Formats: sequence, structure tokens, C-alpha cells
Amino acid sequence: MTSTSPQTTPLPTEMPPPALTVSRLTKSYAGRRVVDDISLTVPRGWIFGLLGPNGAGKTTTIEMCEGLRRPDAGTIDVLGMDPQRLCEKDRNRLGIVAQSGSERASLTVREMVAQYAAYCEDPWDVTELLAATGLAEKAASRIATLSGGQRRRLDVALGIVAQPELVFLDEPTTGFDPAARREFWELVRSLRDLGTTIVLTSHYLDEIEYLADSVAVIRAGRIVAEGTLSQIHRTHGDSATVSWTGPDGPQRRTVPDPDPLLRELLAAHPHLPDLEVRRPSLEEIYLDLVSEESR
Amino acid sequence: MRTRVEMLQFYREPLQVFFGFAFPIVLFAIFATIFDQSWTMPDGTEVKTSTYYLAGMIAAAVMTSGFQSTAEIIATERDDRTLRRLAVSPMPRSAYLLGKVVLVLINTTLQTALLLVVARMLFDVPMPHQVLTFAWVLLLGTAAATAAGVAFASALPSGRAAIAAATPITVVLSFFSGSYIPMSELPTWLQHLGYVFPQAWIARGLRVSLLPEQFGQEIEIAPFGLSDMPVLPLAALVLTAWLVVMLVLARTTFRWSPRDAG
Repeated sequence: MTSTSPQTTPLPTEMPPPALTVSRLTKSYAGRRVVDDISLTVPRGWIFGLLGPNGAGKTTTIEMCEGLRRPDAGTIDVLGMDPQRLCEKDRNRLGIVAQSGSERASLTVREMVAQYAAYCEDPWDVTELLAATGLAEKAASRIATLSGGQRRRLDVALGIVAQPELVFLDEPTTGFDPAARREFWELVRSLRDLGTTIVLTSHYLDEIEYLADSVAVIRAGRIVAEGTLSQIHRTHGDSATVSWTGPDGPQRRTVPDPDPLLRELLAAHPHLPDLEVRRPSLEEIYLDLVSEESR
Repeated sequence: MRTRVEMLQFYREPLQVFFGFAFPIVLFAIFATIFDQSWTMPDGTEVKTSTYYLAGMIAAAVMTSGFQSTAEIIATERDDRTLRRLAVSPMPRSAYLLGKVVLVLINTTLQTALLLVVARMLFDVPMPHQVLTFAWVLLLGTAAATAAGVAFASALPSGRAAIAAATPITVVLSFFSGSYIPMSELPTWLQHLGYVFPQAWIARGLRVSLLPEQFGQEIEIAPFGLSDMPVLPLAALVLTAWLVVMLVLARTTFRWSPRDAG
């Protein structure tokens, strides 16, 4: 080390800027608010899950981030770019896997992937990509002969062929059988291991639970919970159902905090053999968050 | 790349290729056989209807590949989300349209060549005596028809509507543009109306290159009553106007996503 070396290395504690920042995003169709004041931050290298029932506004949010729809209000920053002003070159950095395409199918799988690879600056090797997406055996088949799961994997292959930094996956496993879903999940994880940031929408809790590092639960265009799933479990799962058998028969009470009730019960009854305290499961919390009646 | 893809997609549908190419040839053969007549010029030259129909059928083929097929393919590709996927890929946007244009040029050239060969071999039709006129009318006509096809693909709210409307438009235009019936058989007002659209001008321009000069003076009308205006510059003017207006329309209305997409 010499004293003349330039000191331009950033401090190791400095966080890289997030891959995606969405702030106060709003979009209406025909007077109906489909996306209502949504803000999100997705750190680089994470799998971020956008979880919610059908029609909650997931796809609209994603499409605004992709630059396919113009927000009514709010700002979006994807990889430091404005999605409304992406040039063709910028598209190399974004991968988009929309809800399934249904292209005219006289091309083979390899020709289709090679076509999209030809548009990219630094694409995947086509053979490698076909192997990674489990399409190697189907390379010479026409697209029309693919099954639903294979078709979806082709969608993914076309979405990531540019080796993008950020990939949007919109409900990627709808219509998959359980084995195909597992395989697909491994594919998504391997992408993350390559350093790709992934924004995933789904209405399957198990998918998000398995894949996502962080989640936003969205209902009727609003975020109703966010964080890691265990954080959501903790913050929204405080209430507990206490049940026991007293002198008047079986009792059951749901309270925000069970401690005072338990102390009271144990003080009054020295022996409570079937006392039970139950906290809601993640699935119950999710269903409660997205159900219409709970708001 | 897009051109290669367009070619693969088109030529991998053997029936589509066969019927697409056979249709104008069969129609030409039918018309040239059924209406086997001739016009006699003042100097005694005979002009056979088969020569007239050759020009008309090439014009119809240009409209079919340029306008109708282009509108149908773009509307289909918008509905099946090919366009959406291309729009979010790093593909230069112009490459898509360039691919379409090259496909149309190749198809039109092949169809014209086939029609010329069939007309020469089976019906003894004379070849164009003004080759240059023949070439520019064909090229400018193809450009105007293709631009109109691209614009039309976005003109109607749904792709299905565009597909359903494109065929009747080309058939109806063929009736009053001199493709199915010689224009001289039509009432004058209908002939003038026909000359509003590109197909009549393509056919008329090609007739100038195929038929003797006297035919234009004796049988054809002066479109829009502009008898002082020579016919070829007028053809160039109208076709260029169509090309420019349709390009502007196509550019301002082109959509990469289906209108009602989720």
C-alpha cells in the first residue's frame, strides 16, 4: 500500500441502492381505484413477494413498474431508471415474465429463444438457458406441442434471456402440478443465487412462504401487511384463542393478549386440564388480512 | 432477425402459403377464361381482357399481402401478446415493422412473378413494355398498402374486428378497382370513387405499363375529371398521399398491448 493510492473505494457499510422503489403509487380504471397509495422497496438480490387474491392490483402494480402502464400518481424507480422512459437498451436490465403468452406457434422452442437472445446485449447461451429452464428435451419441438408447464417455462426463458438484473414474475406457477411447481421454485431460487433480484406475484401463500425473502400483502389496491413472513406472523398474530372447561362447561375466548386472562383463570381454578392457548396460523392471518369482512 | 422469424412463421404454414399464392392465380385464370373478349383500338389493335385482368389481379394481390395479411397478422400478434413481449424486450421497435415490410415485399414479388409467368404461358399475355413504370407502381403501391395494413390493425378496438373487416374491404375494393370487373363497365361515379383508393391506382398504373397508350385515351376515364393531368404523376401523387397519411396514422395509433389487457 502506498500513500498515493486513490481513496475512492466506497465504505463497506454502504448499502447498494434498492433494485426497485415504489412510492405512493395510484391507478384508477373507470373511476375505480385498482392501486391505492402503494409504496414498496425491494433490496438488490432479494426475492420480493407481492401476495394477494385475484384482482387485488398485483398485475397493475407490476405493469406500472415495467413501464407498460402509466401511473395516475406516485413515482417508480427501477434500477435507477424511470419505467416510462426506458429505451430499448435499458430493457436488457429488466426481465419480464407476464401472465402467459400464446404466440403463433410455428417456431420451435430453440428458434423462439434464439430470436429473443438476438435482441440482447449479453444474452444467456441458448443451450444453457434451455437446460436451466428444463426445456432441453423440447428444444426442437414446435411451441404448439408444449404442455402448460413447459409453455410457462418458455415464458420464463424468454423473460430472463437478457440476463437481467431484475426480473418480474407475474403469477408464474398458475396451472402447474405440484411437481412442476417445486421444479419451478428451484429455478427461481437458482436465479436469485446468481444475484438476480426477483419480484414475484402470487395468490399462493405456500409459494411466497417458500421463495420470498420479504412480502407485501395487498388487498383491494392497498398494502395491508409487509415484512418477512415471520414478522407478519408476529405483528398480526398477537391475538390468541383461549379455551378451557370451567364449572359451566367448555369456554372459549379470543383476546388480543392472553396473559391477563390466563393469570386470572389459573388464580381462580387450580386445576384446568384442558386449558389451551392457540395462536392463528400464517394461513389464517393471511386469509383474515385479505378477507372483505375484516376491513 | 425479425425478417427470418417472419419468413419461418409464414412459410411453415404450407396451406396458408399454398392458398395465399394460388388464390390470385386461380382468380386470374377464371376471369381471363370466362371474359375472353377484347377491345378494338382505332388503329385496329386488339386489347384482350386477359391483359387487363393481369394488371387488376396483381393490384389485388398487392392489397391482399400488403393490407389484408399485414392487418390480420399484427392484430393477431397483439391479441396473443407477441407484441407485448417484444415491446418489453430489447428489440428495436422498428425491427418489428421492418420484418413485416420485407415479408410483404418478398411475397408480393413472388406473386407478381408467378402471375406474369402464368399469364405469359397460358394466356399469351404480352409482358410490360414500360418495365420501369411497372416496377415503381408495384413498389409504391405495396408501400401504401402495407402502411394502410399497419394503420388498420390499430384502427378498430379489437383484433378480431380488424381481422373480420379486412377481408370484406379487399373484396369490395376489388370490384370497383378494376380487379374483378373492368372499370369501363362501371358507372362513371363509381369509377371516380374507386380512384379514391390505392388499389385502383395500382391497377391503372400497371395497365399503363402493360397496355397500348391508345387504351388509356379511348377506354379509361380521367379520374376525378382531371383530364389535363397525366395519369402516372396522378397515380404517384395519390399513392404517396396514402402512404404518408397511413404512416402518420400507424405511428400515432400503434398499440403494443391489447386494449383491455387486465
